[in-house]
Amino acid sequence: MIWLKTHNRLYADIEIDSAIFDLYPNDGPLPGVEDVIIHDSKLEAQQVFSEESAGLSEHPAELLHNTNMPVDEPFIFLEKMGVSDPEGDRLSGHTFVASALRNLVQDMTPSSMPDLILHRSSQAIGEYKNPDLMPGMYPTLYPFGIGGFEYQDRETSLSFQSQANYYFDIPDKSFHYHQSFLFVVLNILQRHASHLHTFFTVRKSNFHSIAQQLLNVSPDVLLSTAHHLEQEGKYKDLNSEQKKALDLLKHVNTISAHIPGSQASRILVRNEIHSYSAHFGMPQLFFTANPNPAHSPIFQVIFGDTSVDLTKRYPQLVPSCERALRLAKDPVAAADFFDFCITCIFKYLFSWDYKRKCSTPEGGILGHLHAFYGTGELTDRGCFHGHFLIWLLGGLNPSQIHEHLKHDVAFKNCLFDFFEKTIHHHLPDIDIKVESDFEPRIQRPPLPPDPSFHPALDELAEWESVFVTEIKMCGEILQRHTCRPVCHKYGNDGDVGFCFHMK
Amino acid sequence: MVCAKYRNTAHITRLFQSTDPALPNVLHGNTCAHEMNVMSTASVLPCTPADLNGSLGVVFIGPGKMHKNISTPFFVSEKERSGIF
Repeated sequence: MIWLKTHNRLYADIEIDSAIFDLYPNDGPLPGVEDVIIHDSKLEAQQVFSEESAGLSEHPAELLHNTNMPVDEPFIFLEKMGVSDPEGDRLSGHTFVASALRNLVQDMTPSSMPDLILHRSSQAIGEYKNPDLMPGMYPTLYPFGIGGFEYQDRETSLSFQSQANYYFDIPDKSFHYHQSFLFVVLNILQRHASHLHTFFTVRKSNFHSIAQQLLNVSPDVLLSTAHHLEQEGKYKDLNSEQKKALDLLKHVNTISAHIPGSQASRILVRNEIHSYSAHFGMPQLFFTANPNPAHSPIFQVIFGDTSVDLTKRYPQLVPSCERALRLAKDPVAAADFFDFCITCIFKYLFSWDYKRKCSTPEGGILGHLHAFYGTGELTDRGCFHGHFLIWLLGGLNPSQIHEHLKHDVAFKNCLFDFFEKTIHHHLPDIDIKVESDFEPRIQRPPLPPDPSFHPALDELAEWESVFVTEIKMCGEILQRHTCRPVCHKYGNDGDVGFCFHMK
Repeated sequence: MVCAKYRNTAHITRLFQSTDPALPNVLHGNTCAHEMNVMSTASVLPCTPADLNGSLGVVFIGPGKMHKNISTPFFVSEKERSGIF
């Protein structure tokens, strides 16, 4: 505090009350915190946790059992995860409509003013264009009180999101590790999206008449109506012009498709997939990627462990318990790891050229991709997974495929050959014992011989043997089904999920 | 939180106790922060413990009691550090 008062411009006028310091212990629990702890001994912790976090792989918290910590010492695995307010439900519908009305006349409003103001106490601190907001909230992240968001006199303007991304990209991990900074940044971004990207849609048949009527409504009427709604004013208190403007809203819908995580954004995703299908036809492949950072040597490097040598087949990693704690500590690194994995899969396995936005001439393991569409999801276990639709170049629609299958034997053989080569549901028939504690995900893959060096036949045969063994061992550990709560997640009470046989 | 000039977040933490009877102090769970609509501007710092407790919530799920020394970054006090910083 003393340091802050001397060095942080925001603390120059703050009075330090040393008597309050005496209320705190030197090092221990916050006084009175026991009163805010709710003990629930009736719920069965394991059952609740299993049901809520059902997934295809184990939860990183399960790795804690491998800890060698003394049993009397507290040991906590704490993920930074929670539900935000993507729908902006805390804001009333009136507020949203008022926001949309203001967007209609955005050119009439001073650009420096926000179009929506949240009701706060008389000592509210604005969150729009307030560079002091974050330094005032987080003195440990901004010790000098500088480096806040949205400086108005900055030579080159910098958006809130760009600056937030930057803070999560710099080598100093303080922003990654902070317990609430990332939640607050996300909340502010979502609220900005709620305020700035709420628009109207209207039926096509009504478009011309509604558009004409809206144009005839003066900006002053729209702004006064928006103000009236914001103040929770009643409909009957509106004047005739204002009522006329509001009545127009019966014919339009308020949409908020740009708010991440909102129901409207999910509908937008579906509509985009429909548009892709209308343009490219039916997608040929559905693909789910579930990269697991808790075991990956790559994640340890992204986390900042410089001792991990990715050039080695068996890099030295910290114990699984420590890896789980790393994952909980740095959700930003987990997101970067997911992004890195997906980019690599599409670039190197599927040969997608991100710069040219098309498949490379050589093609990948699926041939040539025409297009793909994907979404990322939090798995409730500290990491992400992605679902992708893939359109192949030259891919046919189902009716065309059926037609060709009936009349063209060569096509039939070719199609079956393609799927047999790309999708397996069996493991190589080799006799090899795989230990139950074998964990292939902490290893790096074996390197194939470089084709440019024209490897000898025996070298190729050796590689074939290594490759098949690797598939067998990975398959036994990672692919063989064991029943988990996720199998019954969507009401499959008496059946194994996905209609696959247990074995 | 003790030294922050602006404070507008409520912190919710949920902790599950390990089902392994041999590891009663091994906990796992999640924490998140929610923004509140009310933001107070401090003129006197640090905040009192009562002020901080008002924006904390902890749910502990498990058969045993929470160890009195169990602390997460949200409800630990480091007086020496606060005094300097």
